[in-house]
Amino acid sequence: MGKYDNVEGIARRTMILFFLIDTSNSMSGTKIGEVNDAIEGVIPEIKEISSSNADALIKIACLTFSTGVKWMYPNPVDVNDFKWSYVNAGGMTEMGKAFEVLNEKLSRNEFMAEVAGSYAPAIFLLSDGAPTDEYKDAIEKLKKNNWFKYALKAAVAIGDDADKDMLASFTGDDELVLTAHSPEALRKVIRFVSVTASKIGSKSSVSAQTTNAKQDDFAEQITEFNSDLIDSQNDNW
Amino acid sequence: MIIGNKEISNITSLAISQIGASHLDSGICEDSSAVYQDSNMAIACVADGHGDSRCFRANLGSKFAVEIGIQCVKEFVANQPNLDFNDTKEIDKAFVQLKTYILFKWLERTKNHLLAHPIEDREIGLMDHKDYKEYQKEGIFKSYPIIYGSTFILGCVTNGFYFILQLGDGDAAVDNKKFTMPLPEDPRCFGPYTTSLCNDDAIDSFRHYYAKGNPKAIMVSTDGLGKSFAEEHRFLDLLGVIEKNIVESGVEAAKPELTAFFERLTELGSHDDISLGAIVRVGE
Repeated sequence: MGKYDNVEGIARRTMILFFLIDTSNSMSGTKIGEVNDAIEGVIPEIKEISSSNADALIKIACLTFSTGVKWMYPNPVDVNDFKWSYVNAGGMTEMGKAFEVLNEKLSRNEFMAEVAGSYAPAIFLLSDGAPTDEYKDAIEKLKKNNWFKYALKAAVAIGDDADKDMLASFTGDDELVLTAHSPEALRKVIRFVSVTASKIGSKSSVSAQTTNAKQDDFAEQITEFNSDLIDSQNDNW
Repeated sequence: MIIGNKEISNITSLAISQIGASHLDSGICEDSSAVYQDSNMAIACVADGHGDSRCFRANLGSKFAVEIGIQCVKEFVANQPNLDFNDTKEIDKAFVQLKTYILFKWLERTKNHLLAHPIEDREIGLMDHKDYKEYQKEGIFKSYPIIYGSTFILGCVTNGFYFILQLGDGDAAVDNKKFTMPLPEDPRCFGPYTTSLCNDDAIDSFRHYYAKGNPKAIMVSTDGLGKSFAEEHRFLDLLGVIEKNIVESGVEAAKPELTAFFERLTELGSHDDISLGAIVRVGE
């Protein structure tokens, strides 16, 4: 028997990809259908990144918000075991509540419990409207959370009714808010942001004095993608 | 109490660097490690060249860091025989000088390497555009150290005195009845981010710890080892197993077993390169 056969507690570093999905009434029909199809469709690509290229195992956490909020699974799930459950739309847009519970989970006592190996997460917010609850306090608290500060963040405004200023406040940069004017564009955005965030988020990096290289790299790629997206879109919701 | 003028005995040392599972395709291990031992001191040093794409000569940066670290600490111990251990101000001042010297030598070595080995065509695409323009014009560029970016961790034992130096992520543990990690955490080493020898303000992140005594072991390791464990106590448990193995079997027998284990560990754990430098007391 080898000297190291009984070593316990071996684990890979993890990076959590968060989806925050608006499931309010206005998302009903094509919009929520596209969100379901697009996220389900991108999971195999993220599995591939997790198993072959990444420095970290990728886990997925999904929070839906409408009248109240709901985590799809109680804990982040290894992308290899992740199964997308179709979400339905209906109700209000309690985004402030969503920020509040996200802040709670971005803690070493909660989802970031794998202290030895948690990478800063990637957080992707999808919405077609504006919060119907008080959100400003919640977003300010969230911005003070270190995990959130270091996270790769992007948002997609689904159609023109989305509150883009609020989404920019969430991402910290209006260039990280992409607008999807059609089902096809929404699908492309979900795929691109999820794959890019997974690739960049799961790699290690050097701390800089004033900037965060991974966030810069992510912003650069999202901005480039967005300019192509804007050129190719017709309004079609 | 003075540093370095008494002989040490019953000490053995070992260094291993194992390529990470995620680096097998490239075949390049970006970690380096080495140990040095003479009758007055034992030194173990590891360094982790960054995986960041901008750090495309990081394997060399870590190699230089380990070589320079050992050389500078050898000189430090040899030249400080009358340092009064009870004068903590004096000791801290000496350590600040040592750290500054290590940084200076690393920056000098990397600069000389770049001047002697110009940027190759395949490396141009990995550089920041502004840096490349500056390089084309000047033959060097202000942020050149990033291409060699590396962490640095060193442990040294003399008779009745030991110390640790660390810049960036990774771990340095001391066994005084049980393994603990005495250095304060660097808040800028967070998630996947690490401070580095290549940072402009590297000296501010360069930590040190020293103490009187003769610990049973000092182990320094790159983050690929510690981050293969979800919980810190599991990692410290492993160090205990390694120490026991070295004490019972000797370095020659322990090394291949440990290498084989690290090969499995990187696959199951961090996927990163793993380096360990160990100084172990084998008996009195």
